[in-house]
Amino acid sequence: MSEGEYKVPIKEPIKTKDLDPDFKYEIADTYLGRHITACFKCGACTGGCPVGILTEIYKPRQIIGEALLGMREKVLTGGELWLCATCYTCEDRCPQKVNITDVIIALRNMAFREGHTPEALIEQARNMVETGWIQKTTASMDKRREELGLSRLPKMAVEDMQKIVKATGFIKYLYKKEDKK
Amino acid sequence: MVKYALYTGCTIPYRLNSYEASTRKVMERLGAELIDLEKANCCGLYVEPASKLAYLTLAGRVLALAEEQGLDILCLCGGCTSALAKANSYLNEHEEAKNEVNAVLADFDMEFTGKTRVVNSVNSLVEDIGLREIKRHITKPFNGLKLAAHYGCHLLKPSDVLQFEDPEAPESVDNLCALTGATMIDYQDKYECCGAPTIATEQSLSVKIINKKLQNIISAGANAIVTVCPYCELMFDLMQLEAEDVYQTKYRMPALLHTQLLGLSMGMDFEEMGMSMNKVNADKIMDYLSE
Repeated sequence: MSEGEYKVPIKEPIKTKDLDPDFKYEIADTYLGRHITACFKCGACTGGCPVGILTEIYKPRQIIGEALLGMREKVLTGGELWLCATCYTCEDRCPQKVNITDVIIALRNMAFREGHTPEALIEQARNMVETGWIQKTTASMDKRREELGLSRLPKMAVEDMQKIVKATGFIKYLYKKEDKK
Repeated sequence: MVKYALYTGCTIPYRLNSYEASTRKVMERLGAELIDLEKANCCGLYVEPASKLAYLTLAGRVLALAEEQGLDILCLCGGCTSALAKANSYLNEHEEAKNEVNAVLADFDMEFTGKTRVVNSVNSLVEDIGLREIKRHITKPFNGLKLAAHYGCHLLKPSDVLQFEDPEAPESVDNLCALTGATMIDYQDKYECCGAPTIATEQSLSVKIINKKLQNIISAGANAIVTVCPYCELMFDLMQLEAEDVYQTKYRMPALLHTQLLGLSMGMDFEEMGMSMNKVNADKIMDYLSE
């Protein structure tokens, strides 16, 4: 990996006309994002972030700040959201109980619905629903299990999982991109 | 005697057989009974970023399976632990969401009632079985092994949901592993994430995180690393090789799971614990075992 891969992007001035003042309320309306407006931007989240310390582009305080400001487009499509390791350190340390990791997940839910999810994640979810496993399984896996005295790979409830993704409406997001092709 | 419904999740049964095998053998030795959950599904963690309702329903189905058995559910994976524990507490507190989930589950004649308890492997060993009981079974203690424990995130956090121990100063894994005779060491940023969750979206970032952890562990003088989660184990073992490649260096630091460590110190066989399936050769661990 080359040095400077995570360089600070050159910042353009923020223009009021590009802001969505209702974005914060949209987030606060979700259960996970309900405490976002309590943020007083102290930075305890970014200070303890294991990703933030290694990159210049993912800083939880900045994402929360941008969301509060109404930078809807940047937050949902910028890609930073997907760098969170969901370790919950920020959430545990937040003095205002903003539940930062949960806010990030709420934002990911919104980004997903609007079609801004990295393809790798959709593929994982698709694999899961179609096979019950997160990755492709092969026959040699049973052999390794046998070597350790384990039974064959258990059967997962694939049919039920498919019913669940249909019933919860999740399926339309799962295959959206493929349908377009 | 403790008895659990065993939930192995979506990764362990084929990517980390050693964790499943060592857990089954160690738990059997400790007199714990494990009932396999038949026809389980994903815990929902992987769809949480996409759809809350799909996540809650998948998690609700797994919890309902354990409820049918009338047992607490034992999770080996940190991801499963926090995903199921979060869903369990959320659904118990939110009647509306619970009804939505149950409306879907009714199709399979299942119902989430919130009667099961989500227990992680470490949780079970330290709290349900107890350190005193485990100590009785250590027959071949390690001698002079300096071990770095990695707690991972989802054993402890979010702490208000998991309510296990203080995530800023946890002791459970150190206390558990110290029973085997190993000397537990401290190192910089000990309680920080292994980087696994960003692998799919930004692998170079994951490698950067694990590389930093490895360097901290090596400068603290450890002989080996012990992990308690399949993803952390894959990061410290498999991805260690990737970090060596990317940063043009050699660490070759054995990383084993807590159940493998316990099994070896209970006199169980190296092969039986799946130790030869580790990607970083772990033979040198055996040099520290007493005769």
